[in-house]
Amino acid sequence: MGRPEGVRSKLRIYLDILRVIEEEGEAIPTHILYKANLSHDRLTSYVGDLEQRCLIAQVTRGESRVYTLTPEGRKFLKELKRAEAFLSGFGISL
Amino acid sequence: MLDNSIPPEYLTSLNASSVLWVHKAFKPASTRLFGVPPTAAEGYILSYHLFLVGTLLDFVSGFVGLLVSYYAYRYNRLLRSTPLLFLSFGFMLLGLGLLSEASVHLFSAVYTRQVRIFVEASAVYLVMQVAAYLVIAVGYAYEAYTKAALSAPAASLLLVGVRRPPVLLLPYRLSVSAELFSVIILAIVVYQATLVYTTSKNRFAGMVLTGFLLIMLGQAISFGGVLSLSTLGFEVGELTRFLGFLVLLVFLLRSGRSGQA
Repeated sequence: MGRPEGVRSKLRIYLDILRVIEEEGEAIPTHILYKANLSHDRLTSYVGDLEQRCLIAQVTRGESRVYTLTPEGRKFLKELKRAEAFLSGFGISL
Repeated sequence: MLDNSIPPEYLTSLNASSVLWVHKAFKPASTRLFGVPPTAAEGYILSYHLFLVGTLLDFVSGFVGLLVSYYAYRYNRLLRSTPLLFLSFGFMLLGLGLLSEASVHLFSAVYTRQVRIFVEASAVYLVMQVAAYLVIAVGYAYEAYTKAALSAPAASLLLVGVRRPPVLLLPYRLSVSAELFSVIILAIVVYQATLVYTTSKNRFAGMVLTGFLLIMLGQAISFGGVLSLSTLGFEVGELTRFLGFLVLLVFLLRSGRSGQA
């Protein structure tokens, strides 16, 4: 069975997080949390996943930590965007 | 046998400048349904150039079909989505069917010049075409079924269609029934694509809808051509269907550019 309406898949959340980081260049966790519409616990878990897969990297800027996209992350984001566009043509959600 | 229904004078008409055109060659067979024997004026012979153009359209359409199949497969590896699997398999059948039919027709026209091969290639393609449209429609319906808010009626409509057994194994009715069945299945696909587009107002969904709509119109015109034994009608149908595949190609190119924004 498919997901209930309105429930985001893991890939959808990855895409939302990566998009925020791409838009901001270097994104602080609060911005990611706010713009990707995630709770703190879920943010920690998903950001951890992405870091583990080397798709994003944590950088320290002064006293704050920020996240940037790695080259692999950029590639993955590109592929996800393409997949999203393709799927939308057939009414399939990511 | 099928070949017996083709007037012998046609068999001798094969030469370098013309080719016996029995594309979807159950046209003679379809006349049996209505008791009208085929005559020489019914346009089975097309110019060699028109034949080449038709074959080229089939090659391009088949290539686009395989391209859609490849992308659906590629994204399925990423997403593990059942509807994508259906789409991939359906377009693969359609693409392979078109390419194999076009290849066999070309080979047969240039080298073997045997009508029987034309007929058999078309028969195989017709079956593959119906199967492909059915698989694509199931993929759409699966998505509709698992997302009940979108369109449960479309899914149930498909189930009604599937329950009716096609008479594809009866050769003399193959052409008419396959074309008719294709139009019916495509109508379901178009209905589903319309729902997707009206729900999302997404430009990519609009392109897919346009593509399927043109393919369905092409099939419907071809069906009319088969029934009325009009070569012109049949070729206009083929051309319309080809335009549908072109729209799908544009969709693939545009959606592929999304990642570059």
